[in-house]
Amino acid sequence: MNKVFFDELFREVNISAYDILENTIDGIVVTDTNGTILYMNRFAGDIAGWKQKESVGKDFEEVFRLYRGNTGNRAVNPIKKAVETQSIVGLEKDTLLLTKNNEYIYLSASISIIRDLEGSVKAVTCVLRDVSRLRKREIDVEENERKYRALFNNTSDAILVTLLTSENKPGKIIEANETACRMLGFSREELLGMRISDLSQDFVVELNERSTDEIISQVKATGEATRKCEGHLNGNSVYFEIITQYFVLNNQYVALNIIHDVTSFRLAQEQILQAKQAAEEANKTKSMFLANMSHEIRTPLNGIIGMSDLLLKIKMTPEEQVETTKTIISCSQNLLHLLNNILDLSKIEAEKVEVVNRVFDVKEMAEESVNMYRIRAKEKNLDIKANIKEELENLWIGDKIKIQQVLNNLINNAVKFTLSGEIIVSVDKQSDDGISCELQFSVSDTGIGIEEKDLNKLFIAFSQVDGSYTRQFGGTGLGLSIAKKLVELMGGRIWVESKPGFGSKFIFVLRLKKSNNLKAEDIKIQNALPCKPLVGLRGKKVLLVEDERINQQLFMKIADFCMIDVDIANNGVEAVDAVRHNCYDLILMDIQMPVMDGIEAMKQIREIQKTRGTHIAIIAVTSHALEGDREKYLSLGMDDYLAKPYCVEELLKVISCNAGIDTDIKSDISLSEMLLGNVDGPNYSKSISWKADAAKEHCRNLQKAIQAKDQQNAEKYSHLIKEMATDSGNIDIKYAAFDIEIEVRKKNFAQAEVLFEELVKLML
Amino acid sequence: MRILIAEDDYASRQFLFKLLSQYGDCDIVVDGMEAVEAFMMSIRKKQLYDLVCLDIMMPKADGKQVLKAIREMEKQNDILPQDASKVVMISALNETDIVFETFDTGSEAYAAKPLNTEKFIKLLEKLELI
Repeated sequence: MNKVFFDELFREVNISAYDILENTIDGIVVTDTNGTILYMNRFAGDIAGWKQKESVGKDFEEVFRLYRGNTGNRAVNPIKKAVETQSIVGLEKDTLLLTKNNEYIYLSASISIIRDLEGSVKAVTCVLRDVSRLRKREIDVEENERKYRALFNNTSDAILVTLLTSENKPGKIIEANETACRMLGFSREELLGMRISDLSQDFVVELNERSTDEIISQVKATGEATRKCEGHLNGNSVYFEIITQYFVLNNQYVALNIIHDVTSFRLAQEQILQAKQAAEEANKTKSMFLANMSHEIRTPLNGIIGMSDLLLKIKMTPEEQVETTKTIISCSQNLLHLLNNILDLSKIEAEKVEVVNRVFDVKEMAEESVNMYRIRAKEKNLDIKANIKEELENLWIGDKIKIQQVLNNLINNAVKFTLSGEIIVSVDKQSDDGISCELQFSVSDTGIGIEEKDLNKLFIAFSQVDGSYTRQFGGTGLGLSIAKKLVELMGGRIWVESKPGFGSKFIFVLRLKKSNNLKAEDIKIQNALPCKPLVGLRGKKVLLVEDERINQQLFMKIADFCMIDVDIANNGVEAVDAVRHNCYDLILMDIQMPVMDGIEAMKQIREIQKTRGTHIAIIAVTSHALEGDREKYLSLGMDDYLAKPYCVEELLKVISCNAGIDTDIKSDISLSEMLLGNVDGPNYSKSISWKADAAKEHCRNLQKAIQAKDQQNAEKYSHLIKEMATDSGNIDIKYAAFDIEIEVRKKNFAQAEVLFEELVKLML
Repeated sequence: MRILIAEDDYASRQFLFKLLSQYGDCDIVVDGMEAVEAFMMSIRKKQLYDLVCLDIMMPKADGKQVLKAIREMEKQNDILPQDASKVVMISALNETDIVFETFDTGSEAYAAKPLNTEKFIKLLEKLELI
């Protein structure tokens, strides 16, 4: 279309180029080559806030003050640029125009040059548009995009967007957030294009029961579907929960996988489970303990109640009466031992036990312990030896009572669980830094030994290696746990080495300081008091303050036996009254009594004594028998202390010690023997195979024992013959020997002799 | 009356021996294995026990196992029901489920430790042994 035609056209419709320019919705500015505005249409004026008239003749840059959006600096003059480059010029993105009203608007412009017929630049035209609204919307979109991207990247969950392949299998990753990169250890660029299955061999996803095909058919029907899976990174034991949202995007099935780290949740869950199991285990142990304890209490009670009842109801020879009474005493002692163990353990667990360090002689202590068990070991035909290094002869500082308690416990177990062989108690020096030494105490036996799997059960309270009904060795399972707690209290450690069938070795190690003292400190131990003769007590006058009738009667019996003169007061008031009117050599004072308690009575008696200028020994006799009680009563002003229940020997010792008798003769033999006698059942050596010589030897011994009416040996040898016969398969001999054993148990020696003849015939 | 006492606790078996010797001839065994052997011997000699007192917790074989073995031996040797031994289970385990279990295995009575002399004698009367 040429210019002539254009002019023609305009003339026909009666419009001019001016009309066109003025009515164009974009701003149009025409300048000369220097940038002086020649013409500016209405819209250009509106955009810049200038009147057309005012702007003509002004410089373009004066009317259109342009700034770069990103830096705020003046923009390059686009007119000049167009003239210089002789080409079409646009504005930089985000170019701002400062209008005459001092408002900024986003401006877009295209600047082109107009040439004359010769081709030289005549003028410049500039088409302007206010793009503020568009730009603002764009910025909003960008802002939103940034916001969502930040959310996408900064969620605690990893997000992987994957495509599904045409076979509905998981396909390539098309988007991944920063958390996914961090969690999986890949950059975003690496992740894009990978498949989930490529991530790691350790990344295991456990699909739930819904197959992908099922999911896709749901997506087809409803447009979307979700599925929950679990996964884990094997190597790092990291656990995930994966929620996958399926939907259609650009005609493709897309899966949005949100991977949530549930490791800490899983760990917490596991801990709760473990805690629950531990609680259940503890509860089970407690129930077992109660059942076991009930059994352990009922068993000796059966002996006590039954035997006492028989003493009352059945006619017995004096020997039978002694035997029955011994049984009752032994059962009672077992019961007391059990009670003491329970108290010990509860005290240690309540942290009420203190370590009291004193100077003591290790060698002497160990020998004391060994001697204590010598009789019991001998009864079982066991050798017991103390193996103590000579260099340990100097004195040490430690809690002798607790160390000895541990050692005694270990020796007691060794004797209990060993049927034949020997027990060796040794003390060795481990390391020496001049001031202190690590001492290793050990007790080894040739007993039944312990399976390795059971070793850790040993030191746990209330548990026993063999908890079955057929267990051979009773007990509460408290001894070793007490030993362990005591050793740990003293800063040491205890452990066991064992081989089933060969025996066990219990070891504990303690660090003790050396002492420069020449003499061990005097530790008051009940059994260390010297024995005093009963005869010396004859004619002594004793006041017994006691409210229990049974205890009064018991004491009267003992007093009669020893020919002590006794007065009885039923409470503290009666006691004070009695002291006012009589002279006593000794007062035995119960603590808990009605009307006036023992402590108050003692105080009042001491007042009376002050005025008289004399001192009577007052002995606290009480069931308050916890550690520290003794010290408590002594500090209150008692002369001595005796814990209930007491045995006759203990009572007599305390009386003679405090009644001013100092001849040192062994106590009444018949009484102490009766009290200390052991009533354990017979124990036998381990079975041995049939050997003619040994069998003959056993037969000779059996015959001797039967003739001597020696029940214990007769039972032992008939049992040995029975064991040998069993091992070698001689059933007839076995039953013949067993027959003898049963008759001997009934003390039916005449019948045993007849049966013995038969046994000899069988053995020939 | 012939009596077998199976009990590993010394005091408990002495008590039963002294108590029951008033009523018959008592044999004593000290563990579950011996109890089974003594019972087998009684069958061989044809001197059956009228009463068997079985402790439940014993070494080598527990009371319940012994009871089962006794009933089995009686069956195999064609012992008539009227000649079968009366078995009293004795235990310091004072739990009802154990009591019922032993009745199921074929015991006649259960006595809990500590034993009461009067009650125990009454029990023997009830079993028509004395």
